[in-house]
Amino acid sequence: MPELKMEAKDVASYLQRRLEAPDLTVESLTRFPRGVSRETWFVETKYSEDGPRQEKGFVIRRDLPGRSICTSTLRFEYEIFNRLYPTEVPVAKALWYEDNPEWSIDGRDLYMRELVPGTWDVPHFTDPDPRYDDLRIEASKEHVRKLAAIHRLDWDALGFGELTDAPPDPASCALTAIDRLEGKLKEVQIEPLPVVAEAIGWLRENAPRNASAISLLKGNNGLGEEIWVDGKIVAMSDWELASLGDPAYDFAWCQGFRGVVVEGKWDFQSLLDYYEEVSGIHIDQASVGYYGLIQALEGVVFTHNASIPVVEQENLLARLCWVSTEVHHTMTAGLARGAGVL
Amino acid sequence: MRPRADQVVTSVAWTFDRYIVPELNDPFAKSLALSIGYALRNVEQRLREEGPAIWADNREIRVTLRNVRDLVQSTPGASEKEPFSSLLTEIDAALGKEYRGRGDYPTLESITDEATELRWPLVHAIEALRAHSADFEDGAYQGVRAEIRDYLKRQLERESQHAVVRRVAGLDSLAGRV
Repeated sequence: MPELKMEAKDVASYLQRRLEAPDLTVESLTRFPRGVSRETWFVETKYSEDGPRQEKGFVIRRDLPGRSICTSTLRFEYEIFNRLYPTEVPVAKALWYEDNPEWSIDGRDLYMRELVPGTWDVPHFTDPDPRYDDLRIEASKEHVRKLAAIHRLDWDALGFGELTDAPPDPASCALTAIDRLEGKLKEVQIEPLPVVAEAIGWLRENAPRNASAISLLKGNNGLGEEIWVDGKIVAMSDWELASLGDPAYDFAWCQGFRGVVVEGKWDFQSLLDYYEEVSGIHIDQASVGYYGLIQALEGVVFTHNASIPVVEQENLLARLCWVSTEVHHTMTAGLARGAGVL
Repeated sequence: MRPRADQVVTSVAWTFDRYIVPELNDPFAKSLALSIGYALRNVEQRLREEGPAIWADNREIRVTLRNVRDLVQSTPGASEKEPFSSLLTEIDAALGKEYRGRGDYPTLESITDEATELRWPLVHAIEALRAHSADFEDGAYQGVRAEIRDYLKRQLERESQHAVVRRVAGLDSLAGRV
């Protein structure tokens, strides 16, 4: 059974061969400790490239041993980065996708990105001291500007329609999201989930039909999901849940920024108003509430999928047990509450 | 044998939190330790409560499935056409199956298998009834739909008793575990 391990010497040997850089050395190799969807490794190297030896950082992404527990493939994630890099949306440069088992580090597919220096948090953002109120508002605006940049992209011209299902029209955005998630659930389902079946029916009957646009959506976004330097987002990460649909869905995620309230100055409606100002796209709070349930359905599918590697004994990582039991139940209960079952 | 299995898990989790976790330095190991701590509490609760919960659930879902069957059979023409013809066969098979020998101890495995076989026809009933609601007399249809939703509510409430970790001193539920 492959393990969640990577040795610096194996990475060095792989990169020497891949980059044709025999003098390449790995100075550090660090596993990103958070997250459950995929493995993320940070690699700092030194090697000669048209001149003296220089430092260069990489990020390696690969699925967990056994199988992907994501609702999208690793290749999908790579292609998202690839298509976004030339646009105004800041992302790390995806370098290559490795699917040759003879080349890859332990037989699993992987892809490489350039390492973008920065931090995933905004210093003092969560400090309740009113001195940081303006910082919270400015960070929220910065995030919204980046969401607007994503939502304004010409996704069709950039080829995103080849990667994921596109709603036939804005009114069908919610139904397309449900179809995608229900299809994925049926593909991986190993036990009956009557509550989810009931909730899916409710979601279909109550789907909003008022989307202002069909946009590329980031999915998982917000504080902790992007890379920041000096109050600016320099790279948007975690694209595994990207899709095409109603921009309101991205505001159902938007972790950290949805809850910013500064009495008399800023709240969630201010965030949506500012978004409309910079994007020209109107979003209803009611739609965001509905998409919170689509988000829960996404979580139900993901957490159910996490049970399979354990049941099939492909990957016995204890975190998968917790995600596929307690977290799965929590997601299901949230969905049931929204659908009026609980 | 004493301590019981659930008490052993309590002891292991207690020891793990106090003597192993503080010694961990690697961020990934620390993060996994947190997941393990919660998974252990989850197992502890399931050992105590999951068996009776599924046992009660299996009894109730049978009533719900019989109500679905009665609705379909009492609606002229419904039982002869799809998807209801297949649904009736599926419901009868799940209700009629012997999941253990008479007098055998109801192991967790056998009642879980029973729950799985009883829940599939309910999933298909929910999908079929929603898709073909116009085929039924409204009052009877709404009655069965309400019964299904009541059952789902009780099933989820029972599950939450053992699925949601609620006894971890000093740790916020669901905070920072991934």
